[in-house]
Amino acid sequence: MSNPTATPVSFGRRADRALADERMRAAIARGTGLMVQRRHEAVAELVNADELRDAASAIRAATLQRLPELLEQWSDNLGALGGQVHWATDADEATAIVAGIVRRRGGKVIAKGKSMISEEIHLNEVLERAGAEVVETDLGEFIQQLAGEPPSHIVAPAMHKDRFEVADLLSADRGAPVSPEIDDEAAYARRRLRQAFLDAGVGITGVNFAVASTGSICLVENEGNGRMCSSLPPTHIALMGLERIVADFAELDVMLNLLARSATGQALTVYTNIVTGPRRGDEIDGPEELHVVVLDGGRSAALDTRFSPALHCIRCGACLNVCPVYRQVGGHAYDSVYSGPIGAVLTPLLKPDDPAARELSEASSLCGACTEICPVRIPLHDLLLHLRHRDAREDASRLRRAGFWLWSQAWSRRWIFRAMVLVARAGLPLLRRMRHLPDVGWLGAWRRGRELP
Amino acid sequence: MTTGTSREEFLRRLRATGSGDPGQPPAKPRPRFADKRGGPNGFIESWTALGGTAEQVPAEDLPGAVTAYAVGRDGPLLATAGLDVAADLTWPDCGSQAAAGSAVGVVRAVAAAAQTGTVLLRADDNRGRAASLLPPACIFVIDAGSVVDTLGDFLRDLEDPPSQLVAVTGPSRSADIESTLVIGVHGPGEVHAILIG
Repeated sequence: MSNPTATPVSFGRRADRALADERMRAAIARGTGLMVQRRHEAVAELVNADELRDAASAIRAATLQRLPELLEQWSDNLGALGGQVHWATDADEATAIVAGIVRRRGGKVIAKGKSMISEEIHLNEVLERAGAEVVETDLGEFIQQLAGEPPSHIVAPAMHKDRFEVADLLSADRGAPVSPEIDDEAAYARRRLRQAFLDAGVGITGVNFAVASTGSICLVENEGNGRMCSSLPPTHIALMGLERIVADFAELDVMLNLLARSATGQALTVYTNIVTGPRRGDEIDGPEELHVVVLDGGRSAALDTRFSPALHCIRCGACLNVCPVYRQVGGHAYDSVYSGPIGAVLTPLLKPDDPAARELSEASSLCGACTEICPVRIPLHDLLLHLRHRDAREDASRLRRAGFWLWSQAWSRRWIFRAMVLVARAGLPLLRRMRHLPDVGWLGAWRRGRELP
Repeated sequence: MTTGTSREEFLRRLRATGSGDPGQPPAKPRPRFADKRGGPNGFIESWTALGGTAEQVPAEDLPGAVTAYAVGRDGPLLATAGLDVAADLTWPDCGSQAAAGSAVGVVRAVAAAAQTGTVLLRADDNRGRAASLLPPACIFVIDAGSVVDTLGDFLRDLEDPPSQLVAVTGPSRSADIESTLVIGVHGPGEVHAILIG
């Protein structure tokens, strides 16, 4: 399933396909279960977790209120230290900027760290078309690149695969068997990717936070590949969404205390890289050029809507791990770079013209587990409900709207409601004899998964 | 370069949104911990819990401690200039291929955080980036007096960050395959802290 977008298939169909994949579901159940457990243990170490979450929520909201000022300050500071900031309105601009830098700075090999933005703008395809060899160096992303699949989880891209599937992919890459032992698989990836770091002319990474007061970018990771990509190649290109900014290191501290705990259950990731400009005159190593590409990609349009809290997201993936829908169908069923509850909210905001993106708000039971676990307190299930509401308003036929209006009027009157309950009670035995409601049209879709009382 | 949008244009679109008034400045509380750790001993406790090893020695014993850790390993010892240890290779003179083939790197840290077992590395002042990154094992030399409680304590006081500051919290790891922990993926899988003083 290298290209799940080839023919438009509804979320329901994709979910059905996912539900039939027992192997994938076992892997997702295990992965999400472990991540939730580790997250709970790590958050419990904090005495003031709630205070930090409230603060993080307020910090993100305040940031969105003064984005232009913070971005200006950040880019002035970074520019003064020799960093080059590029502004991209959309994916085409962002990929053109990166391709231009790659062309100018040469080097056939590009070492790439994990970056959701790069997935969002489909950067690899553009660079490969231009003749570059792009090597994904995060272990999970490397596996996904070999499989020809997009990531299925924001934090753990290959969560849906077991070690035997991984061994098959690595063996094909090596041209010789790699044993399905996880240590051996990681050791092979280390050897295989090491030369890419040393050969790369350009390293590409994401950005977790940009710090306005100093012009810094902060990148968190566990393997060391982000560090390699930002330290060894002569050019480092970092990609970030325009909302990824904090005012100062105190705000960064609040965020760092929540991000890794919520994502992987660590107090901090193994590497917290804070980059403030390219290598300076008297330094002994490091990239000569640092470029940061700031992407709008539909974000500014979402700012003035009631959906702007979705831009508070710090990409920890916790909402995926607790979502009863994600836990059953995995990430690929969403057919979007961003899956799970946050993906169901973000995707239609970032792709307002894509009818398939709208459908994702249905991929939720509205149970609220996502809202409860979100470290920055995004009211995810409220936003999903608002999206459904908006889409229903915009999409519904006049007949359907009239029907729902009638229903709402009727049920707002006590006597009609009572009468309907009585009718329903009398009619139930009759319905039971029918056993099933007819499996056609929207009635059929509604009926699936529901039983008569 | 002419691709992309000008900063003015990009920010102008943003100015059209939001109030521009963040209201009350948000609170930025420090984390508080049930199991509070501080000082060199607190650091060692956290660091070893992550899978690192540690020892505390007087300054004059540093060269001996480094040699003792590196002895018998399959490859040379790599150090950055300015460290008083008997290294086989000096970064960056040896080049990155040689550095990648070394068995142990030794670097000076600027501070450490006890609560999380975190070592802080700055790229300036001849410390560089690669010697703590390429070898499969790394020794961090830490002044015992430089241990703070949390990473935030260090960051909040930081005024002029260097071009690269890395907070290292344990050995390189991944849980990308079956959510199972593996150690030593790209960065050093063996990490040893030597606290001085």
